[in-house]
Amino acid sequence: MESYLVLFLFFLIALVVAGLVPNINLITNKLLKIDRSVKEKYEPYECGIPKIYPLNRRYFAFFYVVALVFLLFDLETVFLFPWAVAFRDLGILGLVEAFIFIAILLIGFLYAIAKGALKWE
Amino acid sequence: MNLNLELMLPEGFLLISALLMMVIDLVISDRQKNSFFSNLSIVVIAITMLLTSGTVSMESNLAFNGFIRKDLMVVLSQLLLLISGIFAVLLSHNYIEKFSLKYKGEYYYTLLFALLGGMLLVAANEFSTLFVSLEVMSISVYILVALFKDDYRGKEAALKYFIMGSVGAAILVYGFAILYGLTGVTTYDGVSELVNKNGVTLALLFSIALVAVAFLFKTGAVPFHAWVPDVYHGAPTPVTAFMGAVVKVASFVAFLRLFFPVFVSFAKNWTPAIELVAVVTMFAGALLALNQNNLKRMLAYSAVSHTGVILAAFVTVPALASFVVLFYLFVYVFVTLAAFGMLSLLTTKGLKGESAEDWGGLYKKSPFLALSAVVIFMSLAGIPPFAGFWAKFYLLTALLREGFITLALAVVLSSLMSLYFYLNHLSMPS
Repeated sequence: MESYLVLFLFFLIALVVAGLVPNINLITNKLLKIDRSVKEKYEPYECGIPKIYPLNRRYFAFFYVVALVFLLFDLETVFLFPWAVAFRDLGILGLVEAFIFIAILLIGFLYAIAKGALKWE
Repeated sequence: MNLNLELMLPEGFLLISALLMMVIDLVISDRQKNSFFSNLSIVVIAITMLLTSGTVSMESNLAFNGFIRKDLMVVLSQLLLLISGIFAVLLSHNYIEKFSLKYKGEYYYTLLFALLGGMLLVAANEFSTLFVSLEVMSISVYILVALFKDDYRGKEAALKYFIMGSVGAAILVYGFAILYGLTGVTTYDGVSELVNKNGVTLALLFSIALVAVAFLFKTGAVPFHAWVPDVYHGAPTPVTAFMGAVVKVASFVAFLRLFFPVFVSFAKNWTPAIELVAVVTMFAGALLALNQNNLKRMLAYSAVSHTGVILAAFVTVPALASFVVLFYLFVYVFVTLAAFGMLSLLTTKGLKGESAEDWGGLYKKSPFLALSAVVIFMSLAGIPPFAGFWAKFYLLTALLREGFITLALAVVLSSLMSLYFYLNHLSMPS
């Protein structure tokens, strides 16, 4: 019972650490860093493929829609894993509920397709 | 296993209809969408109301292994939510006709999803159910606020509301995590039993404080009220009406249903805090509303003040709180819907209607609207023949019967202060 006070203590410690860590980092970084700036250090791949165009060039903004569609399936997997683990205990009811869940997600996927989320222009 | 699925018939019907509307939205043409979906939403909500009235019973019933509890208070507040949903749909139709909205179908079914979240929120009898239904309601409302095209203010309001709301949800979950750590169960009944056995500890009080903070945030009480004016002002007016009615009722009823059965045995530990917040809220809301020129902001601050008054009723737990809070909410919902509905009507009719100067000479243009404005504002202020008075009257009676005389005095004083700005708006020269 009282051992759950640990939770509260944990919160306090986390608060203190969260206040300290960023500032400690800044100070120690300033003091300890070895200043050896060469041009290659600021390349995207320091010891690898040389870059062929500057990084600040425009890229395809449409990727965020793809990321959103990915989120849909990501969620599906996350929720289906625990269901698969407890499959035998849940029985027929769990099976029905999982299918209802997939059906709801499927409507979301249909919506994404109908709105042209996967159309490349 | 004790599923009791027939108790969940109204929620199930609402969910399936909203999902079907998603599919229908993809196939019908854009021109007929607005009237089709507003009619369909009203029919769906009306049928859900019928089904909900079918589940009325005097004793409390459990569904989903005790995750959902339905008793008289739940069913009544669900009906209240559904009625305000119908009014919000009625307001939305003309507003969408007037202002361009690309996502007409989305608007209506997101409204239905928000209603579903509210219905589950008041019926929740378990922590994770409470959290999920709260998020269903909140996320739907964030979407509704941001949905209108070229509405920069609405998008800003939605982002502010979203960030603040996420912090509130995180605080709520942290409180629930500590409660789960203390007891090892998440149903209200289990938690209240174990918590009563173990007695008051520091960790318990800390978790109660976190949960209370989250609910005070959702209802817009004072230390956490900063989002209320910005969001009420920025949102499209029908959505503001929806927020003022549905979100407020659902959060207050869920607040009461969590604190009344579960933490009632430590009432003397948490009622002083609620009492203090209530007094500060009612005065801060009334004082901040004094100098507002924008009518929506003024109504938002008056909503903050009303939140304080409703919170004051919480201290009469366990004897009278449920009755008083539910009756006050019942009155408040209709008056809020009328106030924001009036603003929405003026906006769609081409009168700007939002700043106080626009109201000058309203009586000459439309005597009916001007007179209803008088009735609405008098009712919000609590002037005798109108409903707002009776809500305050029962609240004061309850406070006096339980012996909270200073609190009753505070309620009366803040009402008097709020009378000034309501009357000030009504006496604009033309």
